[in-house]
Amino acid sequence: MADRPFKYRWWLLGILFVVLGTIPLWGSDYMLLFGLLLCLYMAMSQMWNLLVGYSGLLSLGQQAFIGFSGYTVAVLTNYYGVYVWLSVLIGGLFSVLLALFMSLFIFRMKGIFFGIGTWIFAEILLLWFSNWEYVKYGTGLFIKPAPPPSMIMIFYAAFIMALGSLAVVYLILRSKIGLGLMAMRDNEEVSETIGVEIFRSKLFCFLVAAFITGTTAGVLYVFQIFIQPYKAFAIDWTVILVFIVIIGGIGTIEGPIVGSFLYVLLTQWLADYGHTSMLILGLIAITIMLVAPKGIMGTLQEKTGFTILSPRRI
Amino acid sequence: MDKKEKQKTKHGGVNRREFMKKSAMAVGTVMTSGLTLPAMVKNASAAKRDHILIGRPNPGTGPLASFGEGTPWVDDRALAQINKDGGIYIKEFGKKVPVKVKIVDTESNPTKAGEMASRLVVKDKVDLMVFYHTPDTVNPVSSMVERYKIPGISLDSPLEPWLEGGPYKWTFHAFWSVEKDIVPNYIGMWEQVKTNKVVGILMPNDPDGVAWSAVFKKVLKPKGYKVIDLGRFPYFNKDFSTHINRWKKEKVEILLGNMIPPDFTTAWRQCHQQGFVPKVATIGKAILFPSAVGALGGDLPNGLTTEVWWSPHHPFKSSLTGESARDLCDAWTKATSKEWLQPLGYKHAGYEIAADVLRRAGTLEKEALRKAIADTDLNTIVGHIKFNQENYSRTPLVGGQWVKGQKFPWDLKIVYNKEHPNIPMTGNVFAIK
Repeated sequence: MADRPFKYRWWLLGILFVVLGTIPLWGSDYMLLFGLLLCLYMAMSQMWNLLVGYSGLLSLGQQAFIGFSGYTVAVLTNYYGVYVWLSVLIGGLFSVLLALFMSLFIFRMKGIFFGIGTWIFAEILLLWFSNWEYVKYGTGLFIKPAPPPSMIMIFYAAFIMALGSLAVVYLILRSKIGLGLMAMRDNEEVSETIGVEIFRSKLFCFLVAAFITGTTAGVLYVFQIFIQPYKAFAIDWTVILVFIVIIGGIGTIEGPIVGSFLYVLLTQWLADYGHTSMLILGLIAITIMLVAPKGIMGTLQEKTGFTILSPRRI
Repeated sequence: MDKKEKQKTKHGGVNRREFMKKSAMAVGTVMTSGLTLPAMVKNASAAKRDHILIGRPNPGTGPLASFGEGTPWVDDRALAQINKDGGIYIKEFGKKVPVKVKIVDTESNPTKAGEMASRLVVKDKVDLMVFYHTPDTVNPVSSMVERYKIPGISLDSPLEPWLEGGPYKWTFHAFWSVEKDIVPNYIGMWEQVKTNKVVGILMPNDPDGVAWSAVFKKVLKPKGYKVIDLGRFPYFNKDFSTHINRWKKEKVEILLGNMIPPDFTTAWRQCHQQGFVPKVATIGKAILFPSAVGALGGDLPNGLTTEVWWSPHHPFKSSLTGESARDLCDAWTKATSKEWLQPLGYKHAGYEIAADVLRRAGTLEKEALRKAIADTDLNTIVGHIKFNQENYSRTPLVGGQWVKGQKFPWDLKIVYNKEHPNIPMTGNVFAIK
């Protein structure tokens, strides 16, 4: 009995990823671009969801990792000629170091104060990079690895990040840490009294999220080529992640997948409507929040019990 | 009890009926999305197209919106002219085909600009990319043009930041340089007014502020100027009294700045309130557009100086319509009741180059188009365009001063033209007080 739901969940997910992963074989160039953006947003929003939806770490500073890692890739490939994918990986590791450093300060804060703390770090980085001669101040850097990677390679790098982020979140949530995290999110004091190691669990998630967000951002900037501090460290990134996760369903593993799909689809579709696109995007967000406050997947789960990947083991 | 049952289903097994129901729902969703998705995502009908398509990423919203303002007025007008007799002869079609343009909004955001440029290439399959307005638009789009190897024509963004992304093969750019054009221009204007050569720098912490202040500090000292620089200020600074007090103390007579309009409005008002009025104030970016100048209020704009890259006084004619710079500005004023804007000429010139290139190439083959751009030798409404080995062409820059106008509240007079004497002066520099 218990096998059946397990199977169909995996089938659905498997088909989704096989379809996505074979785009270079059957899809047009545009499908490839669509898939690439989808994978990038999926990986980054999955990490924000892990922080906010499961660990209760309201991060408003994901752009710190995005910009930091993007700049790492730019500097390594331009100034040191490091192999592009190696520099992407190093970008992720640098993000972990940054997260460790940040945690010294912000892990003393809770809730919204934690959020503001992360945001301040991102702003500090913005000021730092825009005043740093080594990275050419605010003029920005071009990421020019030799030889330039093909779109298919960039797509697969993003695909690995999307798949990897999903697997990591699933494994964390199914583990002892995940159970502790959810207990912690629901009631921190009680969970601590029953033996959940709050600090270590939170830090672990924060570092994992920094690594995956950073690495994904590295891939993003390999695709983008041009990086400039005012947008790389802008709060806009977190706003996009919030939009995706809220629309899709916060605290669900499928939420970020659905949310990313909708976000990329909407932005691509609305691009033809120029100035009004932002208004329409805002209206959709408000409507979904009013009609389905738990997001699409969250509401679907509540109403029908439909889940693809459940963090629960019962 | 109901709740319990529900709980059970949620956590544990799903019975067969429910599974069927849900999978039917899922299949239904997938199928409906299958109907809508291809409509949104599919390739634009590139196979059977009967027109030439130009991609035009444009900063229509966000902080650069004033640069994008002339769109789509200029675009529509230029296209109407190009397509007047059926368009341009392209050998693949064996006939003349019309030129169409696809304009997308970059939201003044380089990340978005890059994404949108990719989309124009892979989805809309544009034959040519034409793009303008500041490094935030031009740099990311140039990168995408190089990646996808399609011909690109770029204008209106200082050369130095653009050259950082080179060497370019597919992108060709036309505009002026900060070091070679802005510096002699500004200093040339200052030298026409008798001052004590003490310069106060007011520049924000942004790409232009950082780059311009560095360049000016380097060149001003050897020329006998004393520079007072209190460092870069943050955007939307509300209090400039520290700067003003220091300038008063050091007897600054020349104010040099480059900032966004709201910051200059605040700073310039405070200067007047606190009794600091320099003899010369030369400001980049903030006072390019008449709307921003008018917003200063009262007589405050009188005598401010700035760079002029294009104006109705420029003695150039459009290769497309034959109209002069003056004609284009008049047509704009007639259509919109607004004063002319500097980007209008550059927007128009982009289409002049594009039409010229397409006519000479006579094909949509990418390499042929690229060669045709490289061979461009054309007199446009912004001056002569001929790209060099590094794929750029420097366009003329003169100096201007805002004075009280007749038709509109404020007029921009050309007061310095030493490097380009063919652009007539329409006034002489005067001291603010």
